[in-house]
Amino acid sequence: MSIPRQIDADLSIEKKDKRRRLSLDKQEARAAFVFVLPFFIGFVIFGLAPFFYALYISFMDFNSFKSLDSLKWTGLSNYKAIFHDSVALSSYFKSFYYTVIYVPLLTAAGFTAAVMLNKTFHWKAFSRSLFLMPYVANIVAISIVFTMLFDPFGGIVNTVLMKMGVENPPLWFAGSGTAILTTALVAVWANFPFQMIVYLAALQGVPSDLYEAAEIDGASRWQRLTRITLPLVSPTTFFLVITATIGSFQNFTIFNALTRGGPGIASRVSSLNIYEEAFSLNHYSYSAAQAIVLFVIILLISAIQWGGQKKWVHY
Amino acid sequence: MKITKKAVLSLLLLGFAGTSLAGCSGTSDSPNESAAESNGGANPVTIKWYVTSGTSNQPTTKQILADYKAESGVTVALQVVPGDGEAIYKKIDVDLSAGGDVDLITIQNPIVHAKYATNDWLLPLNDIYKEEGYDYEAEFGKNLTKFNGDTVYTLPDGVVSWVVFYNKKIFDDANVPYPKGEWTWDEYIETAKKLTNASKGIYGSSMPDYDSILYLLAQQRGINGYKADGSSNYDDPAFKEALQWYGDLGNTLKIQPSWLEIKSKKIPYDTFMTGKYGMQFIGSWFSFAPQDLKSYPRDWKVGVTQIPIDPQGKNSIGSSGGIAVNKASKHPKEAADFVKWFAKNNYKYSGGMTAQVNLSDEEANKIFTDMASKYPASDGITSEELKAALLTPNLGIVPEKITGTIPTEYGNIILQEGELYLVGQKSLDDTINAIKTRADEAIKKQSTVN
Repeated sequence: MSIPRQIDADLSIEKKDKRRRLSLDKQEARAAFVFVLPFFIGFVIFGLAPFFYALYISFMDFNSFKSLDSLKWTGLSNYKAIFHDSVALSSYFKSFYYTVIYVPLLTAAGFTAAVMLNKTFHWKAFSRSLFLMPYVANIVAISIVFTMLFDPFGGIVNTVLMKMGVENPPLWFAGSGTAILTTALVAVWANFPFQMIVYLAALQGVPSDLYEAAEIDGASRWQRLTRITLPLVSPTTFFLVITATIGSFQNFTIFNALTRGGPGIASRVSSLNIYEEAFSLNHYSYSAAQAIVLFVIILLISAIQWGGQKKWVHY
Repeated sequence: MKITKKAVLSLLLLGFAGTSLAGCSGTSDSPNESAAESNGGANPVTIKWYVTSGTSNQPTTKQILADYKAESGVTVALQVVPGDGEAIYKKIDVDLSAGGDVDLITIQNPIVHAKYATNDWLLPLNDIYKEEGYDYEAEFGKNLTKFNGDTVYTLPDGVVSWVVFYNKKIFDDANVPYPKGEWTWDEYIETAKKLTNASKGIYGSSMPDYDSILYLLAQQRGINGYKADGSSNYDDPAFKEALQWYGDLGNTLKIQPSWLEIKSKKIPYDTFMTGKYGMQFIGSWFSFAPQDLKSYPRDWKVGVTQIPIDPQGKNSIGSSGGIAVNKASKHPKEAADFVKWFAKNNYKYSGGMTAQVNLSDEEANKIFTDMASKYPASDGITSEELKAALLTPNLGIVPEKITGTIPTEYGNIILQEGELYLVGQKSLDDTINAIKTRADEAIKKQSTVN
């Protein structure tokens, strides 16, 4: 075999290999596409399409119970009406208030539990399972249990407080000043295990030699926590804070189960108000406009959080 | 092989999409549907009826459908909407807006009736009945609800009058005579005080937590919820008095659970059946509970008497419901026929009071005798007692609820703001002002956003 022929043959094999690789790549891409397709179809049908539909009807006059083919364009009138609606405006502030309580408490509880469970002790696996129980509990069951615990008339919490000498214990879910706070506490209890699991995974990724070096250098436990652990899990903290913030603004279920927005409208957060406007009062367009405003608020807060991460998140 | 894999994958994806979409629809519960549609076309008509899951499970509902089918040959299929009470209308609204053609819509109360009628979703029944020579005016007279002067969208399937059910054992234990005939709210309160026994956990009174209870006295006095210019009339002193009166029953007089207790303990509407309440003030629809010993077993007897009155308003309160026909129904005549049949016959199944006004004394007496027979014999409830409690010939009758331009929202506002007063977190004056202001805002918003 002459040398040029040998080169030709080598080139041909290389081409064939390349083609096979390309073909494999294509096959993998196709397989990936097929695997992603069910989610994508679901996302388009149940996520994207409703979003654009909500955006569309927020500019229409679908504010009474009427047929979809009789809708008329009303421009920004639904958006303008929000700024003259004291209940709608207050619902956004209530959502914000809930977020301000819920997110820091949730993150702190998840992190603390993770640090505790990351140590070596007897019954470690069993303890982790116990900590996970609130997360798998049904929200209706949770609401029944906490309603009984926080019942102002003979509930365990107030009975204990009164035995401790508290003359006028709080009304908890029934108090206009305490309903959101109490709901946030219950929500933290129910959701902190998720944060805990993610933090546990992150903590196990922190190299142990860093702690050993710090210990040799005489660093205290607090210094090790604040100088090593917190910076190294900061990407996880960022992820958890941003998802918890978005979730807290959208939270509907726990308020619906525990307070239904009461007493009065004291805990009527924006998601509840949007639901009531749409499905109790048939103000579909107005409700859609409120939902879009909520979306913009969440987007802005997420953007601010995203921008601020440079100062405290260490990748 | 590749083709087979692709085919399997495609089928799986289609199945996924199909099941997802199927999950969005309601449940059709029609045992006779397939039979009706396969009976050789002799009478293939099947009409559909939105009902709550509770209604669909009642044995009487199945009996109604079977009896109507036997009489007319038309199958009525149940379109079960998950949930109970007014919650079902949230789903029905969405279905109708999207072009749903379920033929029959249950109209539970005047607010629901007004909402569907004023938004032009219901089929006027006047022409259909006139065409077949049916005189609904003669049959239902003053109990008919009309819109725009003369338009009728439903025939009343009964009349709900508010009455007082009482626990005879609690009366006997307290040596208090049973209430009888015309009585006032002052007498009701005095009776409830005698029956209340905190050490035994017994309350003398129980009332449902409806918006209409918060303005009961004003309604009994016939005070309108709107002024002549269309704005809220909640600044009328009668509404303030009514709210304070109701609040005092639980908070000051302690003859019934306070609002805070009702909400904190989530006391259910049928709490009277626990045997811990002397009296239950509620609509006559509640009669199903004392009649049902299986669901509410008890060793005490029930009595029933008429609504107490305020000297300034000698009125009973009441409402009526029915079934209406969806304007998009594909079988309007058959649907209208079922509406008529149901309005005429429902009382036989429900144990309630018919809305028919053209009955002879003999027929009317038979209805009350039948009604009394539905109660356990041990209760000793007679047809005369029921007649006196339900018909209240000594009283006028006014609607139970404020309806008007913002029927649903008005009720919500009254409940939301009234609650703050009832749990002691807002003064009475501030509450009344807040209701008035928010109702006026809602009336204005109604015209702005529409």
